[in-house]
Amino acid sequence: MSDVGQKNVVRHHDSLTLLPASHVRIGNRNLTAVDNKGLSGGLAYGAGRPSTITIGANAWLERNGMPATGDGGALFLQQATLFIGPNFTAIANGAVRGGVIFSTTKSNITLVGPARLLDNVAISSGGAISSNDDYSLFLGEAILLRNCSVSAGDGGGVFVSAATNFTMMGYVSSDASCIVMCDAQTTSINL
Amino acid sequence: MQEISCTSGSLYASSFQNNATVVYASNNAELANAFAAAGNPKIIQLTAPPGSNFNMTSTSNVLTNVSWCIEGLNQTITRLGDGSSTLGERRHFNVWGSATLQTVGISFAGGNLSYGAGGIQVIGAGARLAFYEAKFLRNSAYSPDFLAKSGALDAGGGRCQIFLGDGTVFDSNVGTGGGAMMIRLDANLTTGVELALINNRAVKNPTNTNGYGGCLSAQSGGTVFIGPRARMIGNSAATNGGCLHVSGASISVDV
Repeated sequence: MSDVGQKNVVRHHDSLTLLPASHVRIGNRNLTAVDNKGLSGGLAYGAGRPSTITIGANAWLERNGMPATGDGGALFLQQATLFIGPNFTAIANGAVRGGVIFSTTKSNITLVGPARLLDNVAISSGGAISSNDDYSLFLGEAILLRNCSVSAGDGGGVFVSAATNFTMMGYVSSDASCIVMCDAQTTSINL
Repeated sequence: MQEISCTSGSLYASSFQNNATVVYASNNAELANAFAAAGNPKIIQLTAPPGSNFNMTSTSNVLTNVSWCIEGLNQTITRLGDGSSTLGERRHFNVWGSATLQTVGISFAGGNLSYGAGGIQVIGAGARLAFYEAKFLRNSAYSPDFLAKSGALDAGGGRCQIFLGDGTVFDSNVGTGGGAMMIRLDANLTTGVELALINNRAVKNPTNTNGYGGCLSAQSGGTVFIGPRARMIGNSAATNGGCLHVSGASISVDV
Protein backbone atom coordinates (compact mmCIF):
# COMPACT_ATOMS: atom_id res chain seq x y z
CA MET A 1 0.00 0.00 0.00
CA SER A 2 1.26 3.43 -0.81
CA ASP A 3 -0.55 6.55 0.13
CA VAL A 4 -0.18 10.26 0.66
CA GLY A 5 -2.55 12.57 2.38
CA GLN A 6 -5.18 11.27 4.78
CA LYS A 7 -4.43 9.52 8.00
CA ASN A 8 -3.74 5.90 7.22
CA VAL A 9 -4.80 3.22 9.64
CA VAL A 10 -4.08 -0.46 9.11
CA ARG A 11 -6.07 -2.52 11.54
CA HIS A 12 -4.99 -5.89 12.71
CA HIS A 13 -7.43 -7.79 10.52
CA ASP A 14 -6.05 -6.22 7.35
CA SER A 15 -4.02 -8.39 4.99
CA LEU A 16 -1.73 -10.29 7.31
CA THR A 17 1.02 -12.54 6.08
CA LEU A 18 1.66 -15.48 8.36
CA LEU A 19 5.16 -16.64 8.94
CA PRO A 20 6.13 -20.15 9.90
CA ALA A 21 7.34 -20.26 13.45
CA SER A 22 10.66 -21.59 12.29
CA HIS A 23 11.52 -18.12 11.08
CA VAL A 24 12.09 -17.03 14.64
CA ARG A 25 14.90 -18.50 16.64
CA ILE A 26 14.59 -17.94 20.35
CA GLY A 27 17.75 -19.62 21.56
CA ASN A 28 21.32 -18.47 21.16
CA ARG A 29 20.80 -15.07 22.65
CA ASN A 30 23.56 -12.73 21.87
CA LEU A 31 23.21 -9.30 23.40
CA THR A 32 21.02 -9.52 26.49
CA ALA A 33 19.78 -6.18 27.82
CA VAL A 34 17.38 -6.24 30.73
CA ASP A 35 16.05 -3.66 33.17
CA ASN A 36 18.06 -0.71 31.93
CA LYS A 37 16.51 2.66 32.60
CA GLY A 38 17.14 6.19 31.36
CA LEU A 39 15.01 9.27 30.93
CA SER A 40 14.96 8.59 27.18
CA GLY A 41 16.46 5.47 25.67
CA GLY A 42 16.31 2.94 28.46
CA LEU A 43 19.08 0.92 26.88
CA ALA A 44 20.69 3.29 24.40
CA TYR A 45 20.40 6.87 23.24
CA GLY A 46 21.91 8.05 19.98
CA ALA A 47 21.82 11.65 18.81
CA GLY A 48 23.61 13.75 16.24
CA ARG A 49 25.15 12.68 13.00
CA PRO A 50 27.05 10.50 12.44
CA SER A 51 25.80 8.61 15.46
CA THR A 52 25.10 4.99 14.69
CA ILE A 53 23.98 2.07 16.80
CA THR A 54 24.34 -1.38 15.31
CA ILE A 55 23.09 -4.51 17.03
CA GLY A 56 23.85 -7.94 15.62
CA ALA A 57 21.80 -11.09 15.45
CA ASN A 58 19.85 -12.70 18.28
CA ALA A 59 19.61 -9.67 20.54
CA TRP A 60 17.19 -9.82 23.45
CA LEU A 61 15.84 -6.62 25.02
CA GLU A 62 13.52 -7.00 27.99
CA ARG A 63 11.90 -4.60 30.48
CA ASN A 64 14.01 -1.63 29.50
CA GLY A 65 12.63 1.84 30.17
CA MET A 66 10.24 0.72 32.88
CA PRO A 67 8.52 2.44 34.52
CA ALA A 68 7.84 4.57 31.49
CA THR A 69 8.79 8.21 31.96
CA GLY A 70 10.51 9.17 28.68
CA ASP A 71 10.59 8.22 25.02
CA GLY A 72 12.14 5.07 23.59
CA GLY A 73 11.85 2.33 26.19
CA ALA A 74 14.90 0.58 24.82
CA LEU A 75 16.28 2.80 22.06
CA PHE A 76 16.07 6.52 21.31
CA LEU A 77 17.36 7.95 18.03
CA GLN A 78 17.63 11.55 16.94
CA GLN A 79 19.41 12.29 13.68
CA ALA A 80 20.95 8.89 14.05
CA THR A 81 21.08 5.51 12.39
CA LEU A 82 19.95 2.24 13.94
CA PHE A 83 20.49 -1.19 12.42
CA ILE A 84 19.31 -4.35 14.14
CA GLY A 85 20.16 -7.78 12.79
CA PRO A 86 18.04 -10.90 12.48
CA ASN A 87 16.22 -12.75 15.24
CA PHE A 88 15.65 -9.65 17.31
CA THR A 89 13.40 -9.94 20.34
CA ALA A 90 11.97 -7.09 22.41
CA ILE A 91 9.66 -7.94 25.29
CA ALA A 92 7.88 -5.79 27.84
CA ASN A 93 9.76 -2.59 27.25
CA GLY A 94 7.93 0.65 27.95
CA ALA A 95 7.96 4.39 27.30
CA VAL A 96 5.77 7.42 26.85
CA ARG A 97 6.28 7.14 23.08
CA GLY A 98 7.84 4.11 21.39
CA GLY A 99 7.85 1.25 23.86
CA VAL A 100 10.89 -0.27 22.18
CA ILE A 101 12.11 2.40 19.75
CA PHE A 102 11.48 6.12 19.49
CA SER A 103 13.11 7.88 16.57
CA THR A 104 12.95 11.42 15.33
CA THR A 105 14.51 14.04 13.09
CA LYS A 106 15.84 12.33 9.99
CA SER A 107 16.86 9.08 11.58
CA ASN A 108 17.16 5.82 9.68
CA ILE A 109 15.81 2.70 11.36
CA THR A 110 16.27 -0.81 9.98
CA LEU A 111 15.17 -4.05 11.57
CA VAL A 112 16.13 -6.67 9.04
CA GLY A 113 14.00 -9.32 10.71
CA PRO A 114 12.81 -11.68 11.73
CA ALA A 115 11.91 -9.51 14.69
CA ARG A 116 9.59 -10.25 17.57
CA LEU A 117 8.06 -7.27 19.37
CA LEU A 118 5.94 -8.57 22.21
CA ASP A 119 4.06 -7.03 25.11
CA ASN A 120 5.67 -3.64 24.79
CA VAL A 121 3.75 -0.60 25.92
CA ALA A 122 3.65 3.13 25.28
CA ILE A 123 1.61 5.64 27.18
CA SER A 124 0.74 7.84 24.19
CA SER A 125 1.83 6.41 20.83
CA GLY A 126 3.69 3.52 19.23
CA GLY A 127 3.41 0.57 21.58
CA ALA A 128 6.51 -0.91 20.01
CA ILE A 129 7.86 1.75 17.66
CA SER A 130 7.27 5.46 17.24
CA SER A 131 8.91 7.03 14.19
CA ASN A 132 8.69 10.79 13.76
CA ASP A 133 10.00 12.86 10.87
CA ASP A 134 12.50 10.18 9.92
CA TYR A 135 14.19 9.41 6.64
CA SER A 136 13.23 5.76 6.74
CA LEU A 137 11.80 2.97 8.82
CA PHE A 138 12.17 -0.61 7.60
CA LEU A 139 10.69 -3.59 9.41
CA GLY A 140 11.36 -6.97 7.91
CA GLU A 141 9.35 -10.02 8.94
CA ALA A 142 8.13 -8.48 12.15
CA ILE A 143 5.85 -10.24 14.58
CA LEU A 144 3.98 -7.74 16.74
CA LEU A 145 1.90 -9.26 19.49
CA ARG A 146 0.11 -7.66 22.40
CA ASN A 147 1.85 -4.31 22.10
CA CYS A 148 -0.31 -1.35 23.01
CA SER A 149 -0.47 2.40 23.38
CA VAL A 150 -2.46 3.10 26.48
CA SER A 151 -4.00 6.53 26.59
CA ALA A 152 -4.24 8.16 23.19
CA GLY A 153 -4.15 4.81 21.46
CA ASP A 154 -2.22 5.81 18.36
CA GLY A 155 -0.37 2.88 16.85
CA GLY A 156 -0.66 -0.10 19.17
CA GLY A 157 2.25 -1.62 17.31
CA VAL A 158 3.83 1.11 15.22
CA PHE A 159 3.19 4.83 14.99
CA VAL A 160 4.65 6.69 12.04
CA SER A 161 4.58 10.44 11.69
CA ALA A 162 5.95 12.30 8.69
CA ALA A 163 8.30 9.50 7.72
CA THR A 164 9.58 9.72 4.19
CA ASN A 165 9.77 6.00 3.63
CA PHE A 166 8.08 3.38 5.75
CA THR A 167 8.31 -0.29 4.79
CA MET A 168 6.94 -3.22 6.71
CA MET A 169 7.28 -6.65 5.17
CA GLY A 170 5.67 -9.92 6.11
CA TYR A 171 4.26 -9.17 9.50
CA VAL A 172 1.98 -10.84 12.01
CA SER A 173 0.11 -8.86 14.60
CA SER A 174 -2.69 -8.86 17.11
CA ASP A 175 -1.88 -5.55 18.69
CA ALA A 176 -4.50 -3.51 20.43
CA SER A 177 -6.26 -0.67 18.59
CA CYS A 178 -4.30 -0.98 15.37
CA ILE A 179 -1.05 -2.33 14.09
CA VAL A 180 0.15 0.77 12.34
CA MET A 181 -0.94 4.36 12.34
CA CYS A 182 0.59 6.76 9.89
CA ASP A 183 -0.24 10.43 9.87
CA ALA A 184 -0.90 12.69 6.92
CA GLN A 185 2.69 13.72 6.40
CA THR A 186 3.98 10.23 5.79
CA THR A 187 4.88 10.20 2.15
CA SER A 188 5.53 6.57 1.31
CA ILE A 189 4.10 3.50 2.93
CA ASN A 190 4.84 -0.03 1.82
CA LEU A 191 3.10 -2.88 3.58
CA MET B 1 52.54 9.54 48.88
CA GLN B 2 51.05 7.11 46.42
CA GLU B 3 50.76 3.43 46.88
CA ILE B 4 49.83 0.13 45.38
CA SER B 5 47.99 -2.07 47.77
CA CYS B 6 48.52 -5.72 47.04
CA THR B 7 46.07 -7.69 49.09
CA SER B 8 47.21 -11.15 48.15
CA GLY B 9 49.57 -12.93 45.84
CA SER B 10 52.02 -10.75 43.98
CA LEU B 11 52.24 -8.10 41.33
CA TYR B 12 54.74 -8.64 38.62
CA ALA B 13 55.26 -7.87 35.00
CA SER B 14 56.32 -9.66 31.89
CA SER B 15 58.21 -8.02 29.08
CA PHE B 16 56.14 -7.05 26.06
CA GLN B 17 57.94 -4.01 24.72
CA ASN B 18 61.03 -4.25 22.61
CA ASN B 19 64.16 -2.42 23.62
CA ALA B 20 62.75 -1.71 27.02
CA THR B 21 64.65 -1.74 30.26
CA VAL B 22 62.89 -3.85 32.82
CA VAL B 23 62.81 -2.30 36.25
CA TYR B 24 62.62 -4.94 38.94
CA ALA B 25 61.62 -4.15 42.45
CA SER B 26 60.41 -5.97 45.49
CA ASN B 27 60.37 -3.05 47.89
CA ASN B 28 60.20 0.69 47.82
CA ALA B 29 63.90 1.37 47.99
CA GLU B 30 64.62 -0.94 45.06
CA LEU B 31 61.85 0.59 43.02
CA ALA B 32 63.00 4.15 43.55
CA ASN B 33 66.60 3.38 42.72
CA ALA B 34 65.87 1.18 39.72
CA PHE B 35 63.33 3.55 38.24
CA ALA B 36 65.68 6.51 38.49
CA ALA B 37 68.52 4.57 36.89
CA ALA B 38 66.61 3.16 33.94
CA GLY B 39 66.19 5.00 30.67
CA ASN B 40 63.16 4.97 28.42
CA PRO B 41 61.37 2.92 27.36
CA LYS B 42 61.11 0.87 30.48
CA ILE B 43 58.86 -1.71 31.98
CA ILE B 44 57.98 -1.70 35.62
CA GLN B 45 58.00 -5.14 37.15
CA LEU B 46 56.75 -5.38 40.67
CA THR B 47 56.92 -8.40 42.88
CA ALA B 48 55.32 -7.93 46.21
CA PRO B 49 54.50 -10.30 49.02
CA PRO B 50 50.85 -10.47 49.99
CA GLY B 51 49.66 -7.41 51.80
CA SER B 52 52.64 -5.26 50.97
CA ASN B 53 52.49 -1.71 49.65
CA PHE B 54 54.62 0.12 47.15
CA ASN B 55 55.01 3.82 47.68
CA MET B 56 54.85 5.18 44.16
CA THR B 57 56.08 8.70 44.62
CA SER B 58 56.36 9.43 40.95
CA THR B 59 55.49 6.30 39.06
CA SER B 60 51.82 5.54 39.40
CA ASN B 61 51.35 7.65 36.32
CA VAL B 62 51.89 5.44 33.31
CA LEU B 63 54.27 7.74 31.48
CA THR B 64 55.03 7.97 27.80
CA ASN B 65 57.48 5.27 26.81
CA VAL B 66 56.89 3.41 30.02
CA SER B 67 54.87 0.24 29.82
CA TRP B 68 53.30 -1.42 32.75
CA CYS B 69 52.32 -5.01 32.71
CA ILE B 70 50.71 -6.15 35.90
CA GLU B 71 49.59 -9.67 36.39
CA GLY B 72 47.85 -11.13 39.34
CA LEU B 73 45.71 -13.98 40.44
CA ASN B 74 42.27 -12.66 41.28
CA GLN B 75 43.75 -9.68 42.99
CA THR B 76 42.13 -6.35 43.50
CA ILE B 77 44.01 -3.12 43.16
CA THR B 78 42.47 -0.52 45.34
CA ARG B 79 43.38 2.99 46.19
CA LEU B 80 46.16 3.60 43.76
CA GLY B 81 47.28 7.15 44.16
CA ASP B 82 46.76 9.84 41.56
CA GLY B 83 48.72 12.77 42.86
CA SER B 84 45.55 14.60 43.69
CA SER B 85 45.81 17.18 46.40
CA THR B 86 42.37 16.32 47.62
CA LEU B 87 42.57 14.05 50.59
CA GLY B 88 40.83 10.74 50.23
CA GLU B 89 40.51 10.79 46.47
CA ARG B 90 42.27 8.03 44.63
CA ARG B 91 42.56 6.92 41.05
CA HIS B 92 44.10 3.66 39.86
CA PHE B 93 46.13 4.93 36.91
CA ASN B 94 46.82 7.92 34.76
CA VAL B 95 47.96 6.87 31.32
CA TRP B 96 49.93 9.54 29.53
CA GLY B 97 50.81 10.04 25.90
CA SER B 98 51.53 6.92 23.92
CA ALA B 99 52.10 4.73 26.93
CA THR B 100 50.72 1.25 27.24
CA LEU B 101 49.07 -0.50 30.13
CA GLN B 102 48.27 -4.16 30.18
CA THR B 103 46.86 -6.08 33.08
CA VAL B 104 45.93 -9.69 33.56
CA GLY B 105 43.64 -10.94 36.28
CA ILE B 106 43.36 -7.61 38.04
CA SER B 107 40.26 -6.03 39.50
CA PHE B 108 40.06 -2.28 39.86
CA ALA B 109 37.84 -1.47 42.77
CA GLY B 110 36.86 1.53 44.78
CA GLY B 111 38.69 4.24 42.88
CA ASN B 112 37.03 7.58 43.37
CA LEU B 113 37.69 11.07 42.18
CA SER B 114 35.75 14.26 41.78
CA TYR B 115 37.40 15.24 38.49
CA GLY B 116 38.16 12.79 35.69
CA ALA B 117 37.72 9.06 35.80
CA GLY B 118 37.66 7.38 39.14
CA GLY B 119 39.48 4.34 37.84
CA ILE B 120 41.75 4.91 34.86
CA GLN B 121 42.25 8.20 33.07
CA VAL B 122 43.89 8.24 29.66
CA ILE B 123 45.62 11.54 29.01
CA GLY B 124 47.45 12.36 25.82
CA ALA B 125 47.11 10.75 22.43
CA GLY B 126 47.74 7.28 21.18
CA ALA B 127 47.81 5.30 24.41
CA ARG B 128 47.13 1.58 24.27
CA LEU B 129 45.46 -0.32 27.04
CA ALA B 130 44.58 -3.98 27.30
CA PHE B 131 42.78 -5.58 30.20
CA TYR B 132 42.44 -9.34 30.46
CA GLU B 133 40.27 -11.03 33.07
CA ALA B 134 39.50 -7.61 34.50
CA LYS B 135 36.77 -6.37 36.75
CA PHE B 136 35.94 -2.73 37.38
CA LEU B 137 33.97 -2.52 40.59
CA ARG B 138 32.48 0.38 42.53
CA ASN B 139 34.65 3.09 41.01
CA SER B 140 33.14 6.53 41.00
CA ALA B 141 33.62 10.03 39.62
CA TYR B 142 31.33 12.69 40.90
CA SER B 143 31.54 16.37 41.56
CA PRO B 144 28.85 18.94 42.21
CA ASP B 145 30.84 21.41 40.12
CA PHE B 146 32.45 19.69 37.16
CA LEU B 147 31.08 18.40 33.91
CA ALA B 148 30.60 14.79 32.94
CA LYS B 149 33.16 12.26 34.01
CA SER B 150 33.09 8.51 33.94
CA GLY B 151 33.35 6.26 36.92
CA ALA B 152 35.86 3.65 35.85
CA LEU B 153 37.58 4.48 32.58
CA ASP B 154 37.92 7.67 30.55
CA ALA B 155 39.57 7.33 27.16
CA GLY B 156 40.00 11.03 26.65
CA GLY B 157 43.47 11.20 25.26
CA GLY B 158 42.64 11.08 21.58
CA ARG B 159 42.97 8.11 19.25
CA CYS B 160 43.74 5.74 22.07
CA GLN B 161 42.92 2.07 21.76
CA ILE B 162 41.44 -0.03 24.50
CA PHE B 163 40.84 -3.76 24.47
CA LEU B 164 38.78 -5.54 27.07
CA GLY B 165 39.30 -9.29 27.10
CA ASP B 166 36.65 -11.95 27.34
CA GLY B 167 34.41 -11.74 30.36
CA THR B 168 35.31 -8.23 31.47
CA VAL B 169 32.95 -6.98 34.17
CA PHE B 170 31.84 -3.44 35.01
CA ASP B 171 29.71 -3.55 38.13
CA SER B 172 28.33 -0.73 40.27
CA ASN B 173 30.43 2.09 38.89
CA VAL B 174 29.04 5.62 39.13
CA GLY B 175 29.81 8.72 37.06
CA THR B 176 28.17 11.84 35.73
CA GLY B 177 28.77 11.00 32.06
CA GLY B 178 29.23 7.37 31.23
CA GLY B 179 28.65 5.72 34.57
CA ALA B 180 31.53 3.37 33.87
CA MET B 181 33.22 4.42 30.60
CA MET B 182 33.71 7.44 28.36
CA ILE B 183 35.07 6.83 24.83
CA ARG B 184 35.78 10.05 22.94
CA LEU B 185 38.10 11.94 20.63
CA ASP B 186 38.42 9.19 18.04
CA ALA B 187 39.24 6.60 20.66
CA ASN B 188 38.41 2.97 20.00
CA LEU B 189 37.09 0.41 22.44
CA THR B 190 36.90 -3.25 21.45
CA THR B 191 35.74 -6.02 23.71
CA GLY B 192 35.89 -9.78 23.61
CA VAL B 193 32.94 -12.01 24.34
CA GLU B 194 30.62 -11.85 27.32
CA LEU B 195 31.16 -8.30 28.44
CA ALA B 196 29.08 -7.74 31.56
CA LEU B 197 27.70 -4.28 32.31
CA ILE B 198 25.79 -4.56 35.54
CA ASN B 199 24.16 -1.94 37.76
CA ASN B 200 26.26 1.01 36.62
CA ARG B 201 24.77 4.47 37.06
CA ALA B 202 25.11 7.90 35.52
CA VAL B 203 23.97 10.59 37.90
CA LYS B 204 23.31 14.31 37.63
CA ASN B 205 24.94 16.91 39.74
CA PRO B 206 23.42 20.19 40.88
CA THR B 207 25.22 22.39 38.36
CA ASN B 208 24.76 20.69 35.00
CA THR B 209 22.48 18.48 33.02
CA ASN B 210 24.70 15.46 32.67
CA GLY B 211 23.92 12.04 33.94
CA TYR B 212 23.81 10.30 30.58
CA GLY B 213 25.02 6.87 29.54
CA GLY B 214 24.43 4.68 32.57
CA CYS B 215 27.37 2.53 31.62
CA LEU B 216 29.06 3.97 28.56
CA SER B 217 29.12 7.21 26.63
CA ALA B 218 30.71 7.36 23.18
CA GLN B 219 31.29 10.85 21.81
CA SER B 220 33.23 12.90 19.31
CA GLY B 221 34.24 10.22 16.87
CA GLY B 222 34.62 7.42 19.36
CA THR B 223 34.01 3.91 18.07
CA VAL B 224 32.91 1.01 20.21
CA PHE B 225 32.77 -2.65 19.19
CA ILE B 226 31.17 -4.90 21.77
CA GLY B 227 31.69 -8.60 21.25
CA PRO B 228 29.19 -11.44 21.30
CA ARG B 229 27.02 -12.40 24.22
CA ALA B 230 27.25 -9.13 26.09
CA ARG B 231 24.97 -8.64 29.07
CA MET B 232 23.63 -5.21 30.00
CA ILE B 233 21.51 -5.48 33.10
CA GLY B 234 20.18 -2.98 35.57
CA ASN B 235 22.08 0.08 34.40
CA SER B 236 20.49 3.49 34.75
CA ALA B 237 20.95 7.11 33.75
CA ALA B 238 19.47 10.23 35.24
CA THR B 239 19.00 11.61 31.74
CA ASN B 240 19.48 9.82 28.42
CA GLY B 241 20.78 6.37 27.61
CA GLY B 242 20.17 4.03 30.53
CA CYS B 243 23.14 1.94 29.48
CA LEU B 244 24.64 3.39 26.30
CA HIS B 245 24.88 6.98 25.10
CA VAL B 246 26.08 7.89 21.61
CA SER B 247 26.73 11.41 20.38
CA GLY B 248 28.62 11.86 17.15
CA ALA B 249 30.06 8.38 17.57
CA SER B 250 29.17 4.76 16.88
CA ILE B 251 28.49 1.64 18.89
CA SER B 252 28.28 -1.83 17.38
CA VAL B 253 27.21 -4.84 19.37
CA ASP B 254 28.15 -8.24 18.02
CA VAL B 255 28.45 -7.31 14.39
